[in-house]
Amino acid sequence: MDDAPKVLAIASGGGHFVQLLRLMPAFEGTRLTVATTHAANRPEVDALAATLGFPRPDFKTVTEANRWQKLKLIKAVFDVARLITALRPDVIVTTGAAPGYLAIRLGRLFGARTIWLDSIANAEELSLSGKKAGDIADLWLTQWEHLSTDTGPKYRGSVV
Amino acid sequence: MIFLTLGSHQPFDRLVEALDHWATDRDVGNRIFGQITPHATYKPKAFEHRDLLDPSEYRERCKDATFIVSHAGMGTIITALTYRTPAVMMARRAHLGEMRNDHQVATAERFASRQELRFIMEAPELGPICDDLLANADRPDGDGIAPFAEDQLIGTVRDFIFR
Repeated sequence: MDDAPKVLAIASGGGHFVQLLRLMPAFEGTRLTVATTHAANRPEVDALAATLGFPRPDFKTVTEANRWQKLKLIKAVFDVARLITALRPDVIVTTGAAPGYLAIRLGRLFGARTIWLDSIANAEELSLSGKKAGDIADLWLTQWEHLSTDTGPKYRGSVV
Repeated sequence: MIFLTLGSHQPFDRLVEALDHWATDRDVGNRIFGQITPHATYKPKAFEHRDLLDPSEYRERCKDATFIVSHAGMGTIITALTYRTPAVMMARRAHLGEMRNDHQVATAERFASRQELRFIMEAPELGPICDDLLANADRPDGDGIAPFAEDQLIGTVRDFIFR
């Protein structure tokens, strides 16, 4: 187990987090940390892990922010930086939004491989954070086939 | 109960007010519970409400609801489809300051074919659909959507992690 990959699965609360949890079976056999913006999501994560027969994942919270909330965004940068320097994940998987973008930006500095899965809510165009994060993520995915391009995101199915 | 939910972020007064008026007209306020976000400026008069709910209470209320009234947000769409709870969903609009862009309009178009979900753009459309859902609240037959992502997506993420 000690050589199992360390995975950080991170998303902001609400719809982004609902989508992240639908990827849970992909994390079987990893050393998993789940991070989001609401501590109240922990029981749901534990219940899901138990259903799948996983050991209880680590669970961390980071500040909720968007790019218009400068102070909160600075706090979120510190939260995510602290999380990544303590954890040193091998792989970061995110469904957005701001915390996921920060995790990809900062995680790369520490050698993590990264996946940005753009939200299924972005059916007509990619999110701004998705465009920025996608460019630097090792694997950039969209959940809508018509949004996949040769140089941009790939389509490999959706969370529903 | 009829469950109004707006997600955990921005308020959506246009929808709350429309439901409040319908509840008053039909005298069904005692059958509605609403989650209206901390920054709502319109407070419903006809029905009980709170700003935010814990995720577990939110899911229970979605599961048990006669029908859901909500914004066209992915969290509620996925949750409604999971429990096959009928829902009427109004897209937030950027030009009304309800969201930064019109992605909920695109979401509404993409999920319009789902049997459980009915999407609207304007507040006056809400009442007639609520009347209909109240009279015909039967859930569609069959199971909800699978609890996890499509196999192809799970496999892609897994292959990436273990490569």
